[in-house]
Order: sequence, then structure tokens, then C-alpha cells
Amino acid sequence: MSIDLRKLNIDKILKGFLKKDFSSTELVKEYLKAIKKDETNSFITINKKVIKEAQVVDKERKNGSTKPLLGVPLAIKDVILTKGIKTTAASKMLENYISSYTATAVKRLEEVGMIILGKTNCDEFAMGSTNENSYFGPVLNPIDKRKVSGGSSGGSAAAVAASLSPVSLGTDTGGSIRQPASFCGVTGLKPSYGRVSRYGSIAMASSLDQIGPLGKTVKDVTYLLQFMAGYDENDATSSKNKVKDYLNLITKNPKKLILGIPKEYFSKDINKEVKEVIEKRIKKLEKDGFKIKEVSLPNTDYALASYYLLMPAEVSSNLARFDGLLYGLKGKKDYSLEEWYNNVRGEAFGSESKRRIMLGMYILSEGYYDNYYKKAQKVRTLIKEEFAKVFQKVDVLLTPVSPSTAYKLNTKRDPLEMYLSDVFTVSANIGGLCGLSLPIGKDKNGLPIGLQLLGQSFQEDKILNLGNYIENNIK
Amino acid sequence: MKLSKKEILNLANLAKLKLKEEEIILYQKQLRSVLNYVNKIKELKLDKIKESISGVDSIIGELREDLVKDSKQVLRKQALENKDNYIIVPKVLDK
Repeated sequence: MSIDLRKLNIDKILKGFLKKDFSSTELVKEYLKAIKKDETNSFITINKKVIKEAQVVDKERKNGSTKPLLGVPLAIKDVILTKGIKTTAASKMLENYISSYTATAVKRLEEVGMIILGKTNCDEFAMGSTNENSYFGPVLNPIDKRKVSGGSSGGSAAAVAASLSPVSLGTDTGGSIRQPASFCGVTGLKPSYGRVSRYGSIAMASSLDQIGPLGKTVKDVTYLLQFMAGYDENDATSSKNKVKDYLNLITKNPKKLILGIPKEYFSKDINKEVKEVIEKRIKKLEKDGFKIKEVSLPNTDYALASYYLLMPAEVSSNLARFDGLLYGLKGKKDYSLEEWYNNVRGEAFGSESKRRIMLGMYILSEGYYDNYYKKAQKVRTLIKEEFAKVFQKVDVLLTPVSPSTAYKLNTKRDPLEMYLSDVFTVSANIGGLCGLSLPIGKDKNGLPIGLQLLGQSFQEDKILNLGNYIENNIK
Repeated sequence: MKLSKKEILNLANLAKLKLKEEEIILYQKQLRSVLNYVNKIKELKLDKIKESISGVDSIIGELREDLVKDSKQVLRKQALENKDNYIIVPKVLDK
């Protein structure tokens, strides 16, 4: 039996089960075969029990289970805990760490029947934009293996693009779902801050982190959001805001939505082809009858600067827990405590992690806190106010995801230069907004170009609604 | 923005990171360049602006009751070394 994995999405998988075209066990075996042949390095760990779990699911189906995503496979970024399976954070520090519990987001997807294929590669502790900071090596872009997958959820994006899993989970602190989705030509959603519980997600920058889904279609990411979203008593920052009926709302007529074009996002150093493809798409929407307004977000550059203050400061605090005592890499027996800490951490963290820890340490150190962290939190207020003002006039903002398409692998890059490429994505994290990355075209080399749809906090329904329309009217 | 080698060593000490000589030189240069960039926010007048701790206001409502749940068993399994319910760590104090 052979299943064409490239054509599958969640609806087609569910239909295949219903029509008995294939069982979950057969489907999982096909995915495992594809993963075995994979050349993109998308996975770090395969769930050894996945075939057994698929067999159990097949029995459940025979017994009349009504779980909505019963038997649909899922790949999970390796910073999200999955009990009994390794979670490495793509770091030497946690190379052999076995998760002691399961993240709430994953647990909720398991409760509706999903099964875990494995854990996907990423930048170490989710820090990077190319997936080249992984202790397990870079993820290659499935569209062109000489190019990077983007990051930090590179494996989650590449796994979907290469049809190694129908859907996946990533995390997004400054663009880490949306940018790799854009580079690999798949759809990725960063939900609003607090929409999905982060319990069980290894913390990077706690005021910015969010778990979100990646898939081939808007409906696929909507399915995952629908079942993951909602308050969790184990995450005090998860919101009690009511979970909307996203799956129904995405099929509404979207033409009442007013679309905004923030002019600052188009005047930057942005690749000509990316700009052209996005502008063409916007013109098409105007022709289709959408009302489009130009808006201004003058503090966009300051948002990026404040991101590179808030994020490293929080990283340096969050990564302080990795001391090699309770879990992780261990030191030599005869080390003093001081030697133990310095050696374990110096050896186990990769260069980007160390750079951000050092930067954060500086920002939080005596005399600088007021000048940096506190000021950056004030800039956050400005950014929020700026977005609130704009979202009084428009429902959804349309922007590029990244100033360029996927970069070449193994190119020496200056850290600051890399940081500057996050300019279009970080504001959503700072402002707590939701953002969708949607593939809408390709450059002359065939590399995917992504359109970003930004919505006010907890208005995922609007960006998904418009995204669904654009996806279905792509020509 | 100046950042001396001594300052870098101090940061590494605070962060408990043993760095190689070449890392010290590299981070000195790179941190300088990033700090020069983020200093941009000093252009803004922020005196009267309140701080925001996250993107979504009032997200933390009432706090739940602080309940003790036992997680020691699971954690202990991967810890350094175990003895009689305790985890053995390197010596903290000298005699």
C-alpha cells in the first residue's frame, strides 16, 4: 500500500480513515519510512512507541471513538516536553534528558486523539533564525538543500514542507514559527500571548514565548489551535478569555475585514522580489473588494531594539536553571561547586546561547537595569498603544514575514545583522498580538515567500479567516 | 559603547560560563555592536510612560492556591547522584 503523503492534510487524513483507505498504523508507517529517507535533518528523536500507539488508536476507532483528531500524527519541536521521550532543546546540555511530564498543549492534542511521531530539530533553546545553532546540526530547507530552513522552529517547518508529518508544533518568541514557515513554504501561526498554555515548554523569554502550530493549510493550523487553546491552571499567564469557535469562524465571509498596510514595513531594506510578490497580493485583495488602508507604526525600529533588550535579559534568567545538578550534562566528580557550574555551562551551551546569556547578564547587571530592561518595558507600552490605535481603524495588518527568502547555509554572519532580520516579526511578540505566516509565492529561484497577517490579541479568528480566503483564492 | 575585557570576564563569572580566550575577544566585539544598536531606545522620551510586563494586560488574574505536589520521584531519577532521598552535589563550603 502506498499513500501520497504530499497531498495529505488533516481533513484528507480523517476522510482516509473514514473510507478505510488506510489505518493510522499504515499512515504512521509511511511517515516513518519518509523520515528514515529524510535528508533535511528535521528530526532529533523518533517516538519509539508510535506504531503501538497507532495500533491502539485503530482499535479505538473500531470501537466507535469520536475523538476529533483520532490517529492524526504530530511532530513536536524539541523544546516542548513529552513524557518518557527525550527533550533536548537541541543542546548538548539536555542531550540525554527525558521529559518528566507532558506539556499541556501536547496533552490536549493527545486527548483529541493525536499521536506523536517525534521531536523536531531547532536552534538551541529556540535561539536563532537559521537553525544552524542546533547541537544536532542544521536543518536543510526541503525546497533547496543548500539553503537554511529558518529558525528557530526549523525542523517543525521543514518536516511539514517535506511531508514527514502532516502538522507540527513550534514556539515563537520573536518570529520562530512564522519565519521558518515562510522560508519553507508552509503555514505557521503564532497565537496571542496567553492563548496557549506554555506549561511544559522550556522557557526562553517568558514575557514573549508562545506555542503555536504549523501545517500545510490554514485549516490545519486552526484545528490545532482549536484544541490547544484555553486557560491552564499550570500556566499563570494563560488567558481565561473564551476560546472562540475558530473552525467555524474561518469560513465566514471575510470581506467585512478592513486591512491595514503599515508603511514602515515596506520602506526597509527588503528584497525586491519579496516586496513585489506581497504588493501584488495586496492589490489582488483590493480588486476582490477588500477595503485597504495605509497605516503607520513609527516605533517599529524601537520595537526591535527593545526586543534585543527584553529577550536576552529573560534568557539569562531562564537559562540559569541549567546547572548540571538536577538534570543535564554533568561535571567531573572532583570539581568544586564553582568549577562545576563554570565548566558544565561553558561546555554545554553553544555560542549563540552564551552570547545571549552574556548580553542579558549585562542588561540586568547593577546600574544598567533602569537604563535598559526598565526602558525596554516602557517601549513595550508604546508599542502596545501604537497597535491599539491602528487596530481601531483596521482588523488585520498585512506585512512581509522576513525581508528576504531563505539564506545560504554555512555563511558566516554577524549576530547583529541576523538580529536585524527579525524586524517584521518581533513586534507581535512584544505587543502580545497573534500572527499568521502564509505562503503566497516564490522568488525566481523557487524559494517561498511568506505574507504575514497580524491581528489584535485574541483575534485569531480574523487572521485565520482572511488567511483561509487568501489560500483558497491564491491565483 | 565601551566594553572592556575585564567587564566581559566579570559577566562570564556572573553567568557561570567558562570562556575560551577567543570567545572572550569575540563576545567583546559582538556585545559592543549589539549594545550600540539597542542604545537606540535612549532616543525616546520615556519618563512618563508606564512599564508593561507583557504584551497582554491584566493577564494574570487571581492566583491559584499554592499546593504542594510531589514531583521528587520523577526528578530524582535523572539527578546527579542519589542517596537516601537526597541529591549529592559538589562540596559547597570548605572546612
